[in-house]
Amino acid sequence: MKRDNYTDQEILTGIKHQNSEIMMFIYQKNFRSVRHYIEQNNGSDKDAEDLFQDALILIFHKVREGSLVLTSSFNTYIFSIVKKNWLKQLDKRKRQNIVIDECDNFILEEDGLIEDLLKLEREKIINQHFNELSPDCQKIITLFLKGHSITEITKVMGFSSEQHTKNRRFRCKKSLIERILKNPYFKELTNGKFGTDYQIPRW
Amino acid sequence: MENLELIIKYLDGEVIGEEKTLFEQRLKEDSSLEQTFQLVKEVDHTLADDNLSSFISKLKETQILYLASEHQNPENEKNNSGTSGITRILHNKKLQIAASIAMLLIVSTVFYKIHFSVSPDSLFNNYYQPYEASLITRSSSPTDVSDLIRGIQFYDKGNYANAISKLEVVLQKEKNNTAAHFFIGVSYIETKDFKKAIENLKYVINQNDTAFVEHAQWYLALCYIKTNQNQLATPILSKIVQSKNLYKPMAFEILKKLK
Repeated sequence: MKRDNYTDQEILTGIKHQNSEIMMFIYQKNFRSVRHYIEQNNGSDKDAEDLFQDALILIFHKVREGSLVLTSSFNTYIFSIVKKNWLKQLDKRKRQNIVIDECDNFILEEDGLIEDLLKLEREKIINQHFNELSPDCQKIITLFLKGHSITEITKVMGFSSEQHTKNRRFRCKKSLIERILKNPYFKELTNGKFGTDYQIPRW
Repeated sequence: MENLELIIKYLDGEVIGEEKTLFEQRLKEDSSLEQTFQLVKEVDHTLADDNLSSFISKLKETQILYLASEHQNPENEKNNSGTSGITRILHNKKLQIAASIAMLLIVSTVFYKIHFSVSPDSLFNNYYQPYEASLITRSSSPTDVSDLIRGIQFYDKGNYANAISKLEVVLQKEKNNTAAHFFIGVSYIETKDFKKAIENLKYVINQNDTAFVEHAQWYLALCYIKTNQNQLATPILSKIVQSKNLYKPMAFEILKKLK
């Protein structure tokens, strides 16, 4: 049954289990204030949507790993992640007039969130380059990573031989990795820097 | 890029025996090789993460529903945080009437933007592009290749009427040729016969031919939009958004506009 309120622990469990009602509850309780803050600090509603998604994905990662211990309320925590991420984005865009208080900084530095944000951006870039591949390439890579055998993939894709499937799979994967390796921003992220201005793709 | 080939093959389990031992030794000594190795592992890990993909899909769906609910409930609009303050100020009856008129104008404008800026024609025209036949490298059936190729060649040149008649010949001989159904489907879109386009594209989807099914879903959704059947387009677009379909970003944009 739909409820008016949830405890922080219920929210975290709901995120872990991808509970639709709890995810909607998080939006209803937090998104408006996040958007207001971003718009007050040189951002757009699209920026707010992206940052809010980033924060929730980051929390999902941490909840799943069992590494998240809340030292503040959930609402404060998600807002702090958005602020810190936005600060980094503005820094990249060479605009720094943003308000971030000491309390938020404390929460975030303690939690090693900078590393998590760097990882999140790398994941976005991986997805971006994956989406640039042909639909067939995407399908072959996905089927292979899901553990399907070469025989199954050959059948599903309608290819003439297993050797052809192997060759295609190799070429697709190589093309993907080469695209990522050529992305200068990805390189900077790997070296622990948010780096230069780069239009991060949306999820 | 020799190293890259070796890494991919190693992770795919294709490097064995002495070559495998040598590679593992090199990994310990060569930091650049190790760095690329970790990258390939990270890519595999990210793309194999089904749980993350489904969470992202759920997140996007929630965001669309939330933003749509804001439009449906004007009291929840984004500037709502200031509304109570404004209401407190409006004790003056005249001001309240003026505010009501202003609100009516705002609501009318929002209504106009929502309902008219996303008219079926404008949505369709913004997103529709005929499928590029030159991308086709294989057909789902070996028979009637010559008629099929001729049909696709007509299609490729924009001669849709001839493409339809040639592809109909293919279907008379082999009614389950999905490639023919697909190209006839898109050709009917071009000739504005959306009923027949829908029939053919639905056939391709039901056959689940991997070469065309994703494209057929996209074009079918556009047909439904064009013919004002958004209730039929929405579930197809949602399905596209939740998959790794080529048209995912565009489907997502349309869904946001339809909500």
